Amino acid sequence: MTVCIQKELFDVEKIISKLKNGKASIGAVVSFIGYVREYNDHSKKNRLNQMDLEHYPGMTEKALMKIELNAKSRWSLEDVFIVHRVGKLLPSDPIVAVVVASQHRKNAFKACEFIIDFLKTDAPFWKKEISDHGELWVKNRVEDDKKKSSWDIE
Amino acid sequence: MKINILFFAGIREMFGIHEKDIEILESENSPYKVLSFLSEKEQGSWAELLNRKDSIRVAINQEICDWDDHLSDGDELAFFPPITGG
Repeated sequence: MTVCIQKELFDVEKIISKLKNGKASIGAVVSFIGYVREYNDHSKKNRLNQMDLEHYPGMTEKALMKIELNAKSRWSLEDVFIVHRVGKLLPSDPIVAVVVASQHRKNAFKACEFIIDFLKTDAPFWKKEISDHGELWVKNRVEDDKKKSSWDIE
Repeated sequence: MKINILFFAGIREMFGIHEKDIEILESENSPYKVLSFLSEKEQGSWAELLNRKDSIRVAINQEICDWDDHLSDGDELAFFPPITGG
């Protein structure tokens, strides 16, 4: 299991190769990649120029490891890799990748979705959007809390 | 006792600092008691933080906690807005 917080761009192909690394027990790898959207409003009036991502060093790594461990306790997984970027990002830049390897696809699909759902509410990251209209800290979404809670009844 | 207070995101900007060491009485042994004490003593951003208490999160030693959880000497106490990563 690996957790990386970094400013630099990540390479998902390399992450997958590292996870797979000749392990013949792995039958499925599922990856989720989150990108910076150009617009965060439906009206598409406010184009993003830049996004600043802040985190709580130390707590972030602990929170992500805890999420990985929870996923491992729910599904049979071979390996998990989470990478999240911080600092200044531009529209279309990748922000986060969750890569899950398992023997069968169902576990990898479920665990990948579980991990990103919990990352959104439990890992201490904060986004600030910078546009021509100024700077704004992104508000949390009720949908994200609901999505996380839905795993309680799965 | 002495605690290290950390601020993040909009709260860090409101205080204009990232962290602060604070000497408090042994009796101010929960995030809520610390915030109430500092709000009364210092006013300003502390009072604003107390007003927004229901919409902010607290963590002791890098674990999300409740406002009434126990604080000890040397603890790290963090205040931050709801999480928006991913």
